[in-house]
Amino acid sequence: METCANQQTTCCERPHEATREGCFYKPVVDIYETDEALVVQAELPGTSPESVSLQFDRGTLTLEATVAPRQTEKTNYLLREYGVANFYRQFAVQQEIDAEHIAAHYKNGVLHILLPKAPAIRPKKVDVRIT
Amino acid sequence: MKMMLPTLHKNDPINLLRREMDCLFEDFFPKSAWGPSRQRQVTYPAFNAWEKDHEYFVEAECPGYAIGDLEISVIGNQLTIAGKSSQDGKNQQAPNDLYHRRERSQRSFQRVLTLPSEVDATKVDASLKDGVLTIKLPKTEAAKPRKITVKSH
Repeated sequence: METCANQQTTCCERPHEATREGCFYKPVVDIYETDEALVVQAELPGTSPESVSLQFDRGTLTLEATVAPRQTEKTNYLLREYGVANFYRQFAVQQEIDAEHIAAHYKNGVLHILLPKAPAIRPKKVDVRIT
Repeated sequence: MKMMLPTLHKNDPINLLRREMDCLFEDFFPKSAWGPSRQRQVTYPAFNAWEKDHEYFVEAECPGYAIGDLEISVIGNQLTIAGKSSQDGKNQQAPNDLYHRRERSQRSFQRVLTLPSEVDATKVDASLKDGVLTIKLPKTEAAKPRKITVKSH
């Protein structure tokens, strides 16, 4: 679903064009896997838990966050190294996920998402009795 | 990482040219061509700065950093922002955890910004909210604009 080579620094149109005009940035993420879960940490500075929408639908994780502009358009900028716009990113999750128990919390501008693996694919520890 | 920025003069042609050249070089020689880059920007964190009559504002996106991880200091017209690798546990995963992606900046940083005029270091105010650091730097009396009334005889 990549439509623009560098969405982290370039503001882009969404792959499915939104009715509302505007562009988005692709948030940077860390994703790691433990025995029990897949953990996604996405950087979404300047938003709030209420403005984040997270959806998991048949293996597709969609992350969306609206960011309100913090300065007016008339601001007298001396330096402008980044732009402020909404965030959008989608992932195809390969693992079987226990969708009912997905949890997320937002802290210091980072969204932490916990996607627990479906019980069937978690490694089971079995003690084998040696005779 | 220590980065010196030229004095901020919005319309200074040399400054504009320099930034243009920097962008051009970064486009031709992206960091990834020399090795893996995990940075969102070449300079981290990115700054926005703007000016009002009586103060300067500097804003930086530092998601994952708590206020205790950031150190801000002002000397004359130089603002230094330093960040220690954050405490939110992003670097403290158990070694057997398998990373699928590692795009977030893991490093500590330091950046120095030279403001167009001196600021009153005792009245600098910094706040961190939802990963956005905002610093308000009041100008010294001498640097504030003055309105001159023209007298007519």
